[in-house]
Amino acid sequence: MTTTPTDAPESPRSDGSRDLGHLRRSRTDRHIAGVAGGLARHLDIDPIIVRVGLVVLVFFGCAGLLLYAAGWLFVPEEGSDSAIVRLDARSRSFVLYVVAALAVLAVLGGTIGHFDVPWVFFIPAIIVLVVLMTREQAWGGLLRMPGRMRREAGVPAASVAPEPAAYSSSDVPPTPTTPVPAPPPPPNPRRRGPVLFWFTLALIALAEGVLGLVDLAGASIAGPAYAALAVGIIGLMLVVGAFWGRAGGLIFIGFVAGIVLAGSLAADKWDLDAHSHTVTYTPTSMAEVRTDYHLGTGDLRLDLTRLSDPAALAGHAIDLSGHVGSIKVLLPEGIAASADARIKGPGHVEVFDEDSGGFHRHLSGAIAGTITSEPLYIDANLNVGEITVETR
Amino acid sequence: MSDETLYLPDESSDRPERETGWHPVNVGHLVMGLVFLCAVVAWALIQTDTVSGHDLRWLLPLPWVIGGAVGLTAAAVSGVRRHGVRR
Repeated sequence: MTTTPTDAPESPRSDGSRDLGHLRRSRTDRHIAGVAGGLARHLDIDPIIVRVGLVVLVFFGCAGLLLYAAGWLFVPEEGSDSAIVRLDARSRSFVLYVVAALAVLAVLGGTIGHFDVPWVFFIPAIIVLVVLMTREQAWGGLLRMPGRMRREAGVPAASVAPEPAAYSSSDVPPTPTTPVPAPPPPPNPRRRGPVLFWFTLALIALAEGVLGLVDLAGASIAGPAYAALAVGIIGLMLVVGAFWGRAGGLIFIGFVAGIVLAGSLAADKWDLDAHSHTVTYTPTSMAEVRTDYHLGTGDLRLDLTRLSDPAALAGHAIDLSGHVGSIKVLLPEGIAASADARIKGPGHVEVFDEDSGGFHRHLSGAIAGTITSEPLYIDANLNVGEITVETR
Repeated sequence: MSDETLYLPDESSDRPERETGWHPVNVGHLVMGLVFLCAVVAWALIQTDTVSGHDLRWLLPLPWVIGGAVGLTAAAVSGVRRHGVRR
């Protein structure tokens, strides 16, 4: 594929090509600007997967927002070669790859890393860039009308020749183009027949209702049977949709139902309550105070208020950790303490009357003591749940 | 069939006279459909205690192996058919 910007107009999809320069926003499958629809069509996957993915990524460093905004600004609509910010195919690919790299950076920074992408700096820069390029458009510069406006004005899509200024400094010489109408997007041969999504939802609702009636009538129906029924219907309709009709969206709800099935099966067969428990440590002497406490799943309580000599805690360090559940540390009155609490996933942290809730929370706090001056160091880490450090 | 075709414009005369819901196999949907169906079978085996203990670990990869194998076969067959038509 060694096309130049002055070759024949790019088709939205060429065989085997995943070049982002060929990416187009969808005109038909759109809720806002057709970015997700176009991306799904480009990747030949279900649009709902792209939409859900973008929405989820919004919560990870605003990466979804960044990707959508970039798609809106830089990707042309179907049947058009011009976007809001006009670039040739190669430059557009480069910009989109850079934006994708930034999005990855944002996701990493928002989850496993301990840094945030400075969007406060980027947003004004993007606004300034768009304003500058819009002005250049008014002066006949880099920008030109979006495809819809141009068509309304009666200008054919491919009849606008590339501006010499855009290539004057590059090694690609401007060559004259012949006005060739953009070819219509090729229909996806697999998008044929009736949409099965809503029919499947109705079928699931009916089947669940019937199963509920059977359950109420006295039959012994296991709890996970409801989720299993939904998964089975979705699987069946997907197999049907693989050959007949359009089964778009069913994979997503199949995954949701599958997760519900796995959870309900685990709760039903292994009784999660038996595995999650509360472990309370109430040392009465310093010999009983450990430096490490760990509990996989459940509630971990460390009550230091029963210590016979709380002043001995001065300078001591205690680490507490767990996966899912809660960690609660009770300190005796009058001792100095410094606490560092961190939750990697969703949860709530409370350290000496300061609290914080949400995702990836970290809270530090310290209190001065009347009995001791050197603090007791508490370090608590949890993946999901709640951490509380307080005095009593 | 031929009557309908006569009234169509020339450029669409190569299209089928009436579009049906049948289409080339969508391997992604086929694979995931089989995975979900096999997951239900796995659930039934666990729920009825047909499979228990350490044997449970064999049930986890089974849906993916079945779905993947059928998907690969379908992709190979449909690819050979398309290849044959184009050449």
